Amino acid sequence: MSIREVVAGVLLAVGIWGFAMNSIGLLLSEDLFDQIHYLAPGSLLGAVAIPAAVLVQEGLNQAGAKAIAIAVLLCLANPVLSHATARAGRIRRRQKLAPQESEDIPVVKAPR
Amino acid sequence: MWTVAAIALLVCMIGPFLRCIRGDTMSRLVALEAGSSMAVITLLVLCEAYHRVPFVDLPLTLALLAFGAGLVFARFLERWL
Repeated sequence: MSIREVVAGVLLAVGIWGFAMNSIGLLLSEDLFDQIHYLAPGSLLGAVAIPAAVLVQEGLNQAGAKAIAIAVLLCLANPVLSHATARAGRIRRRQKLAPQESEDIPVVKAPR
Repeated sequence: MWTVAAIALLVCMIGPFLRCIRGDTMSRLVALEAGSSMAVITLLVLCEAYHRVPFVDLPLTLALLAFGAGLVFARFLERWL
């Protein structure tokens, strides 16, 4: 087994660990915002480590370049989707996005 | 090694699958996002396992489409559904 395969195997294990944390967290947490937090290990750690394993295994050829594109796309998409989902969940729960007085959230007014 | 990794990723998809079955509407959207990113990576690993380099276009396309689908679902669940 070459060094390249060992590095690829370690990166694969790290990525699968991230997705396992994602899966277990989704199962164990009941609150929507906790579940959104658990999206991060899979969509960032897993989405970087496993394409990196493909890149190490293949080198910078067609598959390696597309693996980089997939990693970049997933890393950019995850924060945007998390924000959109959290925003939708809050609006569904509270009927509006802005903090309300009953929530005891300090509201800082923008300077004029 | 790559085939075992693909099987492990498929096992990881049990969590989002069960959440899709049992959760409320917003939890299902979160599970959809988690499951779609796992599906993208599983397809990538399968391409590597079977040495089918041209098929890497499939996970790339799925990643693009899943991003758009998640945004559309979130927008619609915000107000109208």
